[in-house]
Amino acid sequence: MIYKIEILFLICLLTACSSVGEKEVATTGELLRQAAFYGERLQFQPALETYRLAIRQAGKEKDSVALSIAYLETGKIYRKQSLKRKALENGQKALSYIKSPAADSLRLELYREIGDVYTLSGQADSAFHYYEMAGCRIKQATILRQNGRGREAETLLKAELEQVIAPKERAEVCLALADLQISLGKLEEAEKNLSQVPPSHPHLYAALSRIAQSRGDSLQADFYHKSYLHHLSELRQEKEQNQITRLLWTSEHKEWERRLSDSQKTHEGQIYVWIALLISCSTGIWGYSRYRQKKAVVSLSEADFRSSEICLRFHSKEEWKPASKDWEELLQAFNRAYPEFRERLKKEVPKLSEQEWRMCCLVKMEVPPSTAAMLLCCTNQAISMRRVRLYRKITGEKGTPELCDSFIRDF
Amino acid sequence: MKKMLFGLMTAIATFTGCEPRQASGELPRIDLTATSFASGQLGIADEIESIEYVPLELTDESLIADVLDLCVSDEYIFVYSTRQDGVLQFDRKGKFLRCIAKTGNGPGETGQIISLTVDEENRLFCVSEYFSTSFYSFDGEFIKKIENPRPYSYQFSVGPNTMVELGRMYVPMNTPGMFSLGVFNWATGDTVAFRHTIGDTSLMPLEETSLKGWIYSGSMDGMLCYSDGIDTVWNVNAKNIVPAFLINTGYSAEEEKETRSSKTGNEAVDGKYSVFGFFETPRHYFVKCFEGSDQSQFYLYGLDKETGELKRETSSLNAQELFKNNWTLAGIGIRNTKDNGLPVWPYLSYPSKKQMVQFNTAVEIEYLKEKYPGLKEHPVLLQVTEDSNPLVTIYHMR
Repeated sequence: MIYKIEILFLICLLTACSSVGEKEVATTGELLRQAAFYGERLQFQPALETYRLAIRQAGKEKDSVALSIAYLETGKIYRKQSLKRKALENGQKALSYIKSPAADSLRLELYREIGDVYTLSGQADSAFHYYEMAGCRIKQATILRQNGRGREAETLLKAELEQVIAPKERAEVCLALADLQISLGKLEEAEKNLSQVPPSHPHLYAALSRIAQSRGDSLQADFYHKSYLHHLSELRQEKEQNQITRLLWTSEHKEWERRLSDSQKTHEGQIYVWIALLISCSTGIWGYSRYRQKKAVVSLSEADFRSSEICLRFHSKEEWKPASKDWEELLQAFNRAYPEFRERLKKEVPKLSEQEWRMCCLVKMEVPPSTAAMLLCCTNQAISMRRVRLYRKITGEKGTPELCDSFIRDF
Repeated sequence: MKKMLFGLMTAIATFTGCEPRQASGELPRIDLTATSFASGQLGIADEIESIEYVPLELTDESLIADVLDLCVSDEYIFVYSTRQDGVLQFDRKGKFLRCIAKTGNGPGETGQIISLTVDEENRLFCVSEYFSTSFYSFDGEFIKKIENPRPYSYQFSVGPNTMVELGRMYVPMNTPGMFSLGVFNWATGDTVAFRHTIGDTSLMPLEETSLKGWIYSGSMDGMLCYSDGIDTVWNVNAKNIVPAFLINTGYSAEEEKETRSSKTGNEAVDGKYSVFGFFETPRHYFVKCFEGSDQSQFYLYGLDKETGELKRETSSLNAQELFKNNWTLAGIGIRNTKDNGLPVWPYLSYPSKKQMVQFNTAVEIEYLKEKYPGLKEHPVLLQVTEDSNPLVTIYHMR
């Protein structure tokens, strides 16, 4: 009996030893691959656990490259989990293990990763330092630009273009430089740089659209923007891309091209008409009295405002959200059209909030309440309530939204 | 003999322990048609430990119109609003941080968002669209998009890499791939738990049966899910799908058939009740409903899990008026005697975390101030004007 138990015990021992042996079979490389597999599928807990095992094993084997890879990847997971301090700690540890000059590409990746973590942490100076070491000129330029050092960013990118770099990288640098130059108002230079970007690059159209927008050519800008969206959707390579949508896009594309060429023709025609008009107009036009001229200018200014692009944009029923600069542009134009409106209104309602002021402008411009709700990013109900409250603020009486509207329009 | 007896007792104890805690006959039941109640007023104040008010910061980029969905992690609040191009991220103090998952075709950009959830264990923010889920870090960094062919209406995280999915509404149940409730591991593609149908399937053929409006809220270990016309509220957690409690709306089998048919709409029947929302706390189940087609009058029910005591309260507010200000009707809630603040009716309850999250829009708060003048003296509500962004209230439960 005892003999049998002993045999059983031995079998158990052997099985246990063999299973332990099996576990030890996994090499550091295998562990790293296993961890990367978990990480790719966003299974962060098993990934971190496997990297820990890989670090232990690599430590035993004194494999510094494996150690730095394991720490780098661990850091990446912590970055994805927004645990920036831990991400940095792991990045620094990874850096301390890179000694071999053969691991240059790993070192560069590590610098870039640390730079990214510093960027997420809002530590621009440290991020800049690591990007510099990683050779990430575009990211460096972005930091400079964010800090209001656009000229330095431009110089940096120009210097990079003078280096011998891969065509793909060159295209990205050209694009970044053009983007920067557009914001600096150097449209010609930007165009020159964009000519070096291959036409298949989707962001080329976004940049061209911005140039057209800066020149006030909204039709051209819209055309490029549509091209940009089209290229992006092409890139997505959606399997279920609908054939009908494609056909519609093509016809719309043709329509836009036709409208563009029509507008160019009209534009040329308009120039001839103007020249003829200028020649035929007598100098008697200048004989109008100053008083009449001034009155005409005011009324013209209001009419101009009503037909201006910014005013029409705010009347558009299409879903869009004005940015701060759109409001600024509108309010500047509004103040030019109704020079004393704001001051007079402020006298009536000294505590006029920015939202209320915007709403008053929209009412004065006769923007429908539903559109105003969209522009002010609130519900129709809120717009009605605001108008009632504003009327009470101005007149001290209970009223309706319509009463408020007519009051502001006649004000 | 003694040993045999001991073994027998152990076996009985083991088998009893392995049985489900509640057989279907023992499930708690909320009878909305009941005529007598333990009380005409509900209370929740003694379950609330403290109340955290988070006024969401208002900037040009963080203007909120109608809240379409909202979710809260330990550090952040994510709001999906109409007229906004993406999801707005705020910290737990209400400071606006950034807009993520913007509209577009590029990487990390979204089309039509259907629900938001947070994978707390992996620290990931998840945005669901039809047929795909996008994952972002809490720093707003886009990480990955996973395509998903299943026809779901909503997705909620219930564990690391684990998502509860609620089947697509108004689609006949015999449609290939169609399901009612499922728990899936989105990393491995494994199905953890699955129910093709819920409710009585003998009423009509599958090609006529469909899921109607979903109502959901957090449970002690997952999500409580209820589909219109079915008498069971299901608890779906990281391991399985089990019935949580029953609701008697008064609908007959024929009326239930009418409600659940893919060929008909949701016609209300006078004298019968429709569920509008519910939530669970460690001690209670609360249900909000209306009767027949009268959607102006709402009733609140509270079932004590321990004693089985059922209470009912009739709301004095006109729900149709309030609906214009907040579609969740958070204003129709349980009296807040904890700090005399807003009525309590959370948008989402997380009883396992002992937390409930509620949002009230500014116009709704203004409306409630008119109805309940006492609210005008509340120090937090005093600061809210009609121009403010919604106020998020987080209740920390005992």
